[in-house]
Amino acid sequence: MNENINEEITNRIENIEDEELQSFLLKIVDYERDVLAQKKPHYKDEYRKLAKPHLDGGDGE
Amino acid sequence: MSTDANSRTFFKKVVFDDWRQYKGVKEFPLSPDGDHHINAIIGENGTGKTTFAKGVEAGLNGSVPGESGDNGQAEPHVNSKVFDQLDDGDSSSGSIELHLSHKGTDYVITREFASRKEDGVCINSIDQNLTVERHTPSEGWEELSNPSKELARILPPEVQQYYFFDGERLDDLFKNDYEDDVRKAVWDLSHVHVLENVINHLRTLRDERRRTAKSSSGEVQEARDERDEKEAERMDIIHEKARVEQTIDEKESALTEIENKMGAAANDQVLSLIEERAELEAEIDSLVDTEEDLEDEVDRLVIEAGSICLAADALDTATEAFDDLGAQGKLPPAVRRKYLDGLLAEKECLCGCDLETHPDHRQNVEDLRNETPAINDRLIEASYEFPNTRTAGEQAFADLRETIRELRETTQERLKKETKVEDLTEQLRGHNIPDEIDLEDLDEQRGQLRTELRKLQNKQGRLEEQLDTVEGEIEALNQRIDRELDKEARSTELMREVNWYKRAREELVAIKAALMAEVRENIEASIETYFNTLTWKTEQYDITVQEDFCIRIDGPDRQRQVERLSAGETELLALSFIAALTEVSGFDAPVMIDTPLARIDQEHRAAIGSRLPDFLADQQVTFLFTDSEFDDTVSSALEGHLANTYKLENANRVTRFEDY
Repeated sequence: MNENINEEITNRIENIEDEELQSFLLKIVDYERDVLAQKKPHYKDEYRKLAKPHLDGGDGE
Repeated sequence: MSTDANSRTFFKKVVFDDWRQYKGVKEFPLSPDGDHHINAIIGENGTGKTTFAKGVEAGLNGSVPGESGDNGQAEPHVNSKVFDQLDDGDSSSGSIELHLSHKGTDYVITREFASRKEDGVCINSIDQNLTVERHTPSEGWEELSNPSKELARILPPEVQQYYFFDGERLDDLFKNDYEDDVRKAVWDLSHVHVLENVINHLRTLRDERRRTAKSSSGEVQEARDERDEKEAERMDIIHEKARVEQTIDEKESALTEIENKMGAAANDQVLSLIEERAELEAEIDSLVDTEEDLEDEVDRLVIEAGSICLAADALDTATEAFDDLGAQGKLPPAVRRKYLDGLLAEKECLCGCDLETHPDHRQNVEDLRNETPAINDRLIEASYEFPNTRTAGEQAFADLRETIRELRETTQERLKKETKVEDLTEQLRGHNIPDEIDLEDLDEQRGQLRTELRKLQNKQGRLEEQLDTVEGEIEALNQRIDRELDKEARSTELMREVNWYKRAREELVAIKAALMAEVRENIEASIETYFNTLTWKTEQYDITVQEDFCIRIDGPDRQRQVERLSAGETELLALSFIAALTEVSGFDAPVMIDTPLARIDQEHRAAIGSRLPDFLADQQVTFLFTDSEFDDTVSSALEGHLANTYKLENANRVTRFEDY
């Protein structure tokens, strides 16, 4: 295990095969880290904004 | 602290100014020095050890741990001698400064406090607005604009309980139902709450989008079923109409045949009567059609004239108002500003000349335009339309009266012709025809056929109307199906979004479960290492952190229940657990433990004390020892690891300290 669990979380997400899903998860986890550091607004708008390019580009399956 | 000491977090200095026993300014340097990472502050009970620890926590959190803050009976925050000298209504203040190094950057956290005397009792307060200054080589010292957030980033309040301990209460961590506390500690320090937040948010979003998808899902099938029903109804009408039309054809053939028979058998006079009656009947049919058309026209005019009649007063009032505006020059009756604007844009005068070459004309048009009030086009339209509407309503009434009169005359004419037909029929039936022909019977049959035909033709008309209605309904249903299909497409899109969040959540749930299991295993291994390092016993213990965070301790001979460990063993387990959490989480904070060996009996104190240097070797640890805790064994065990050692003494309610 990494000394830093945050890095471990990132590594595990990077191991997800679906690159679209992987990219989305990295972004929302980063966003939540920023939220914990009190830098970001409400999550729903941000999640939907981050999901949109993936939904527009792929079939979401 | 030897490895990469600059990247760690540690106190460089704690400065109290009139904080309780610490009268005046008292400065405690605490910086580590190479492998010397332990600070020891030693003093008998009442000399200010706990006050020191509380001062550090008050500086960080703005409240004194373990004190409810009930003013009136509280110990003054300021030095009690200073407080005693206050007059009633006066107050005195002080401050706590924490000099902290975090990842190579220096910070000074300052918090002020005060005590006021009111009616002889003490009212304490701690300023909730701390200041944080940061030192960087490029900027020097600067005061941060958001100090609370900056401090929370360096030392999050929720994890402070794992770095600042009262040794006498350390074993509280492993009292009954300790599993939840252990789970919470692992949770707080492992960053898994980031994943948990994402997982919860994805679930909320998934459920919300699913509800929206459900509410906007199209009802295509329902609309299609309704359309199919109407289509079946349409086909029934078409078939019925075809049957009626066929019957009409048959009846008309039969009628022609009867009329032929009657004609063939009749003399000239009879034929003349038959022809005359046929002509009259044709005229009656035509009059019936005219009556139907006039009735429709009456219906239309009643609607047109009626609605205008209802609004007649309003129309009259509005028209009068427009007339008034016109009389005041506020409503141009003929030339509109828009029209004049158009002329200016086209550079063409009212007279047709080019405004570019005739500046005087241009000026005239512009003047006219500027004199024309810039009023709403709709208002101008209304000023024309309202009187027109009123006139149209009056005309509709006149037309209605005329149409009703025409209808009445047509009906009278038809009735006259029907009477005449009846007379002719009587005459025809009175004539003698050859024996083999029963003219009266034939004529009765003819009359009956004509009645049946009229009924059938009426039915045919009704069926055609029904067909028009049903076809209109089918068209509306087809449009509804298109709309429902659009909604269904939207719902499908939403369900894709739902599925996306669902998959994202499933992946993170799996990652979280695997991570928690790994964290648990690592903590388990780390506790075991620390416990076996710190323990005074020679046997090795096998420690397991189970899925429910229950800790199992297996010795060589038997299993030990956590709840039944001795006070010393429990404290040992707590210290091991804290060290394991710190190691596994990678979270970095200075540790401070007040009276770490207070619950350890004399026999084992030396054994644990001698092993303390191995405890959290990479972090700054500040122990606040009583004299009896810091005995020769502990003192010599720590000797090669101590960075700063202070001896506290209290005399006359004032603490003094010196290097030990």
